[in-house]
Amino acid sequence: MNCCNDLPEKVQFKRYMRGLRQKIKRKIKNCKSLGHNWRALESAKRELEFYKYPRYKKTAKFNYESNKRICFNVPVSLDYYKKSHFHKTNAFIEQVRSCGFENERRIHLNFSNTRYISAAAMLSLLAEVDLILGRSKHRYNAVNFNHPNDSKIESILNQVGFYDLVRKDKRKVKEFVDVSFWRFVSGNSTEPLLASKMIRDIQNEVESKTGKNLYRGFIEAMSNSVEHAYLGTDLERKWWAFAGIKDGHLVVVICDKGVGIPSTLPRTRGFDLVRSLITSLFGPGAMDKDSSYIKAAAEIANSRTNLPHRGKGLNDMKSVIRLIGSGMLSIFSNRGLYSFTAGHNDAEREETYDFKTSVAGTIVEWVIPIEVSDEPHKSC
Amino acid sequence: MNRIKVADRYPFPGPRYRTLEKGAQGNSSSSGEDFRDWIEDELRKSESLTIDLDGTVGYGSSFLEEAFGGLIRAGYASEIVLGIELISFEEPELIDEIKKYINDAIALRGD
Repeated sequence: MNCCNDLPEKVQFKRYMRGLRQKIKRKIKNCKSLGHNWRALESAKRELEFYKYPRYKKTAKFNYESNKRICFNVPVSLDYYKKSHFHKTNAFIEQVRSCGFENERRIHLNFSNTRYISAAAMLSLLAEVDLILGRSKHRYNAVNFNHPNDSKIESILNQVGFYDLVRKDKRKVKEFVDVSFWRFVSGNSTEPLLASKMIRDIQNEVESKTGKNLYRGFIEAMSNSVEHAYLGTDLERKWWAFAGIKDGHLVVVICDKGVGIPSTLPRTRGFDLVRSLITSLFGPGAMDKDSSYIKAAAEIANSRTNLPHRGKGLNDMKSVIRLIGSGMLSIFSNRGLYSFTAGHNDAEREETYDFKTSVAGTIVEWVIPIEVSDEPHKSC
Repeated sequence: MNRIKVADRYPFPGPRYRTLEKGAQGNSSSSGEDFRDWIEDELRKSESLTIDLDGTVGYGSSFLEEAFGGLIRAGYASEIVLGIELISFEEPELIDEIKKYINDAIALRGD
């Protein structure tokens, strides 16, 4: 005989309810630790409230949408360089986009645990927040964040204009030598003058020819963002650019939040041509890999109009590294990554990789050693 | 002989088309199309033209292709376009690149 059945009905009900609450609390804990969908977390919290206070009269409408700010914990390493960090960073940015951009909910970003921020990931988050602020009905109240615990992270957010973007009051922060050069600029047209200060600053840091080559790639990436990246969308044709110095290397990143190269390439060059090129480069079965499209775009001249004189854009981005003779180009587009590396011993290496999550747009990054000298240039 | 310096008008040479620039009207444009129009104006004055490419922050290939390859597509005779004297001490390889764009455009036109 089950002893529980002997208990009064009231006690049995209490235990049953306690069990339910425990179950939901565990669900909430798992949602937080695994970085699950913000909607699942919110509905679990609401469910818990219902079982916690069962006698509360619910007066909310059926289609009631909470106005409560959703809190997101920014990952410890906001980074695209390490593959293990990539997924966490992207999953976090994807959630921020879904919550703030697609559902127009208010967001709080918790930077308390963040200890490392890389250039490309920072730019991607910044672009996402910029888009949310531009579209949300809450305007500048749509996103807020806490002052980070780490003074270097606070200095970075300050330097790249994150505080200005969300109109948050700045505190006096410690200055870091490697952060003080970080520059950020954005625009919605191919207007080089918008980035003139950043370009001049970059050119002061590197050899004259290196600066000119970098400008070549930069202006082509900017043009691609405005001309091709937002094909078929009603989004503003915006790009975001960033330059910084890290460990003796100049890092220049430009990003857009468009549909990505895997979507635009078949439209610009024709599906049949792209399919035959990808099949010849990677063999059959590579058509569903985003990285194949990026490599194909770097190999051929990408052109929306199919005019043969058009579309040297991605080749130009690659030739920056070739002409300088040293450094690395990385192109993230949707789920794919294409990287091109050149070393001092003339060795060139190309790599492709496909991630589980998408960067929702395109990020082009050049990493160039600052000490590089102007050696005789190879033809590209 | 007519001589023009690109950096005088375009210290920051821009994209291929005017439409890619925001307030791309009148003198504010720094596109390849705009540069081509300038060259055409100069060629109307005199067919012997020298272009100084130094002094800018750099060039995108679209800018150069639209300006020089675009002249061929606009119907200018190959001899006139190939006869434009190009000067670049900072990036001498630009001259070969521009010559390539002109020759490619000539080949496409089928001269």
